[in-house]
Amino acid sequence: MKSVIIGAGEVGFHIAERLTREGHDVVVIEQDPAVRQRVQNELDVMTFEGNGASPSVLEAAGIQGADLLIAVADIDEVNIAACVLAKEYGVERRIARVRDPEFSEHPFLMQGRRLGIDLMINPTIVVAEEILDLIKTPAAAEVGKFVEGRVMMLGLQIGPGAPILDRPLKALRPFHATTPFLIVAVYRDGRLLIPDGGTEVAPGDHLYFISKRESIHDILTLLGKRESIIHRVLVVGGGRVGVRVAELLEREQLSVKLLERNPNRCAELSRRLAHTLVLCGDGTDLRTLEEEGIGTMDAVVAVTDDEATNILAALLAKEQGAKKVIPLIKRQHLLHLLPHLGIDAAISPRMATASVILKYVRKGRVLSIFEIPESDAETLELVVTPGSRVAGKAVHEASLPSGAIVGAIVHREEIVIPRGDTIFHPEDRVVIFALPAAIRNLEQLFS
Amino acid sequence: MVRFGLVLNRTALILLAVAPFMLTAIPFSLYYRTNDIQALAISFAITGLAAGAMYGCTPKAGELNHREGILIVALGWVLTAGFGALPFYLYGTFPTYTDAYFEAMSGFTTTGASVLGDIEAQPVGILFWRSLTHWLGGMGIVVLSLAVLPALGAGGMQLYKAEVPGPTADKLVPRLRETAKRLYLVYSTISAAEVVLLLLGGMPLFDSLTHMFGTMGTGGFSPKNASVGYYHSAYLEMVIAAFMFIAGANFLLHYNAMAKGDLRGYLKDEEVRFYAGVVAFTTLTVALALVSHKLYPGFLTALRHAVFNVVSIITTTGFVTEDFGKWPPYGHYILLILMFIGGCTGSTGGAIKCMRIWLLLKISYQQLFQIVHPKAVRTLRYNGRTVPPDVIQGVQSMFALYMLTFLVTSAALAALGHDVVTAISAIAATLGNVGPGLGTVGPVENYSHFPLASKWVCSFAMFVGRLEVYSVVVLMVPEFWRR
Repeated sequence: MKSVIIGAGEVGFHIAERLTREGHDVVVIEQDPAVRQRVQNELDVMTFEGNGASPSVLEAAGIQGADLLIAVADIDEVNIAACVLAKEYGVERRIARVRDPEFSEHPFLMQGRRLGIDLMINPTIVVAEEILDLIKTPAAAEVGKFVEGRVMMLGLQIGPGAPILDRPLKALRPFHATTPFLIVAVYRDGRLLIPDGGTEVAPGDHLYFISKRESIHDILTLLGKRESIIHRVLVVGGGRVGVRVAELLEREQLSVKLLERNPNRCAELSRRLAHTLVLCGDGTDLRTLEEEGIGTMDAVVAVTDDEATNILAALLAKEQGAKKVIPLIKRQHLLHLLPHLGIDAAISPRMATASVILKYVRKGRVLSIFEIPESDAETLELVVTPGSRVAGKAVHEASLPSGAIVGAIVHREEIVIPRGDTIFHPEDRVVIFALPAAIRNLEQLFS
Repeated sequence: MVRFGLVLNRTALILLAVAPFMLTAIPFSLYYRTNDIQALAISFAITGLAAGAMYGCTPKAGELNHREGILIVALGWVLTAGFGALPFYLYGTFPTYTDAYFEAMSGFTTTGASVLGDIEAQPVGILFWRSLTHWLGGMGIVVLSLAVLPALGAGGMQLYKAEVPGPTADKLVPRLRETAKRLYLVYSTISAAEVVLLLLGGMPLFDSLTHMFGTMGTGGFSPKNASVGYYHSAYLEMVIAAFMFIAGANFLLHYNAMAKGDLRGYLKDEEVRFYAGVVAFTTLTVALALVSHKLYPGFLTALRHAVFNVVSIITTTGFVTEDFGKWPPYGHYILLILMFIGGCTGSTGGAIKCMRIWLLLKISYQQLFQIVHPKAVRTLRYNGRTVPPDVIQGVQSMFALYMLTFLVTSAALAALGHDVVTAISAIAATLGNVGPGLGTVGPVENYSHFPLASKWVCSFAMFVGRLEVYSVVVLMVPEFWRR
């Protein structure tokens, strides 16, 4: 499979890396010579310098033989033009990142893929929806949803005093009988471990577990987290993401305050957001925050354009007693600093956008995907294809690759947290956690 | 920072890729019933075990950084020549390991400078291995290991860049491993074509194969004392000249021609046009010089010898048919200059390369133009594209470093007591990976009379030349070793 990626920013680079590992032949088009050079040195791909919306550059990059185009350059118009061209060159599937809602949400353009775009991703929307999930599950640092949200995967940090501490996981068996769930991975000292029955959870561990939605509350209690009800949310930053988040929160009937620095923008926001209190001020100014009762906030979302401001605002809010803080962070490698700073959740547009793209690329075989930050491990939602190698077999005899754990099987609308003897029936949907090395193998097993 | 464990680990992989080729000589030894099988088999065993141990005892995990990549390539070449010398040493081809090392380094770097007196007295297995080193070193031992060993994959681009000749290393297809495989496929296909044409000219199979190795790698080792001149066949000489010319051109263009039928790529490429132009001009003028000195009975014979020797030298092969040392001064002067020019980027040839010379000329013209029109704004174009400033700088400093290496090593030879013509031409021929020089290392002589120290100086020059100066000289910069 040959893929052309336009733009090697955070998302483009990440996607190129993933697709290369999955066996695609990847060509990257990038305008900045220094960035292109970096991609050429670090990834096993071919690179071309130039504008991705130019036919001669696309032809040089071999667009004619490509199966997939992913346009994630910084400029919307470049991405759109690239898809229009790619369609004419006969590229079968075309994905574009488009930030301007004029393009991404206008009903006229969305009908019948008028711009030659099969999947148009607006990172604003994706990010806002992820933020909403995090707000609704205050205990979690990461939330992945599968099977229409009926199966969830949560990532969270274990604090001291949790009931689960100081005993091996196999001691939880009585609890499993009533509330089945599966701890699929533990992130400890910068490494991702797959736990077994003898593993003991320690304070500071970052756990990932898969369970049914209705069991979440009981499991969180076991993990020492109290699930509180969210009422008051402060959004710092009135850009596209901030507005979108505020709109979603309004729809959830929450009390929303939105802090924006630019007075003109504030006036515009107040027209757009009828039920939100729009405040004009700086998110890192302690006095403003105190006046607005930052300590009483159930959640503070910091989504300005500047990630340093976001981190500072989150730190201030946490220090003042806000229950949950969610900063938006663009640079992926900063994410792992956050637990040290006491920030329990963060949102990365790159991860969010890349997940959507990867899910689409693997369309048909993979229904949903959730990436574990910093490790490249994934949780996939797959369908058991009739006649595939696992169909009709029990979990323990399906010779799954090591590094893959089945978290849930959905058989005729019934969700089962599997044991060794649970059977993979054809057409079942399966939620599997997998380390990077196991992913390809898994897709072959199930298709 | 350089992680030596990781460097040794990857270097071991290069040796593991090369070692099995030592065994390919054995069928010929068996057929001709020669007594060199033991030497070859033991060499293979020693290389395999040493590399295996090196691989087993060092950490495998980790992505290579830039510096480690350079060090691996340099170390890989030093060690490959070191182990590649074993068959010569164990069989007793040479009295000293220095000679064996010189011969192996000369082989892998496709120089073709020999310290072997009576070539035809050697058994076929040794001669086969001697020529095969050209073929392996021509396309590159790192490229070979990238093609056959998936384990080198991570960070392979660093290695590829350090070994492939030319200021920019281009891939044929997105994946490096696939690029390396296709390069070897194109290389093998052209090689096979040459063998067929040589066989058709009546050359025996063994001779055809070994001469093909020497031609395609632009090496120049021949299993005959009189080199290609042994056959006295205009047909064979022209076939070999044609394939030397092909091997001296960019394999990226060969790939496009073979895989995509794109023959116009040759015509459009500035470097190939320059290369062909230099060959045509020097061949004609040398032929005229030969005619005017009445060395040969007629223009066609003069042209035949001029073509063969000009192509042999500019491609840095070093096959000989005639003692060009006896040619008029213009003839061997031109050949000496051609030793510095060399073939094209992405070819198996050595020396500075046509693209760099051509760019230097363009840069110089640009400077002259700027003197006439101080306010003119001009961009330097190459093959229709603007040349980035870092490439210009790279070309200029490569030329400076090449000439500096030339000065230092030829001064070393002079200090060791060699006459000026020998010192200059021996370094021009070894640094440029050509082979025969002038004076006491002329086309009908060899390097065996050199003292040991001079042989090491020349081995070093071959090594520096094959890796295009940077990858070796940078190791001598203290900054390289700082944390």
